Amino acid sequence: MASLLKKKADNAGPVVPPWHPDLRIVDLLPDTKVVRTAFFVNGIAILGAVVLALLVVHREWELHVVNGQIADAQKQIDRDKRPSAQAVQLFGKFKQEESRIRELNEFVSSRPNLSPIILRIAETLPAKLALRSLDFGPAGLTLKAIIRGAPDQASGDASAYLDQVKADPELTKYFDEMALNSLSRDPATNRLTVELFLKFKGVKKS
Amino acid sequence: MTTQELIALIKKNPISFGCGALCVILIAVLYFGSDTVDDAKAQLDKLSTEGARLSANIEYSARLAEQYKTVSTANTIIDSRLVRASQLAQNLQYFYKLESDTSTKLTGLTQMQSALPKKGAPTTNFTPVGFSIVVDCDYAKALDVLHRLEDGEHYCRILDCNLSPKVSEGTGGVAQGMGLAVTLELEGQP
Repeated sequence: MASLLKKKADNAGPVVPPWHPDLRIVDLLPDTKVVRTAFFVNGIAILGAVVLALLVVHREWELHVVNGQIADAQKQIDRDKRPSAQAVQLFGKFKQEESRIRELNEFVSSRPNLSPIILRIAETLPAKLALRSLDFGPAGLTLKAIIRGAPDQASGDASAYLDQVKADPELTKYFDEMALNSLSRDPATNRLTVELFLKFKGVKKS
Repeated sequence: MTTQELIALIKKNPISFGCGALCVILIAVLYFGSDTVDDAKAQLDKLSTEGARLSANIEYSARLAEQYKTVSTANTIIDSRLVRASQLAQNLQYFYKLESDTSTKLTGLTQMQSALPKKGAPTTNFTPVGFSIVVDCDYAKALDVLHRLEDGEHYCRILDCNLSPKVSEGTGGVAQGMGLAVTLELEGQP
């Protein structure tokens, strides 16, 4: 029994040719498969055509929508073109007028107003100091004053005045650097003359 | 395969061959029209940008006419306050009137020549006219003169200013009031 279950070897013996010739014409024979090959071929062809057709339709629809938006945008442009051109023209005139005002403003604000500065200096000048001269130049103000009293105390008064000027809220609006230029004795009066330099804001040091 | 055999094959499989031909046509349509949507979208973007620009122009110009009227009126006032470099007599009269109004003494008055604009310099709407004045006064009057210059009829910019005691010969070094020397510019036109 075990010998019957054993697989026969391939080279068990010579292959026996058919016992009669095969006379069938395979191409002419009907397809006897359960689902015919033509069904699959037709199905794939139809599916491909449908997919491609859908792609074309989708693209044409998208194009139609975009063309509609283009038409709307063009209509809006046609509507807005004239008022926009008028606005641009008016803005050009406005800019021209504005440039005059801007230029004038630059002219007026390019130098600080001196009268409030002089007034402030006069208001805050200590009793021991007498103004000698004020000289406004492009860079700032040179202030000369005579200090009353003994020379040994006068230098202290000069420093105190410099500190006062540095701390003055009004003057610091105009000047950013204040320095003691010189402190010299006038031989004729034996009094000290102090010279301060107050540099205008925004002016570069020479 | 002969032509007749091919025709016979097509006749035998009309659906698959018909769909195949349709596929070829549709692929050709898709291929040759592949850029149309992109082109249309690019055109739409361009038109949208243009439309947005025009809309913004209109939107921002809502109060432009009113603002233009305001600056135009301001410029009319500015024009009336400008000096003319060519009108020397009228310009000097301004300072003599200042002298009279402040009860000071004008000891020096010069209208300076306007510098010619440099080549390539940006064009300007105005040409400042320079003046140099020397006034005998006291401290309060000097302040009055400066105040009237700065807040006066014409737009003024003080370039240099010196306020110092005036010492005359024969007074033994004793100050005789104050001397105010000012170099200034009035905004003007040629």
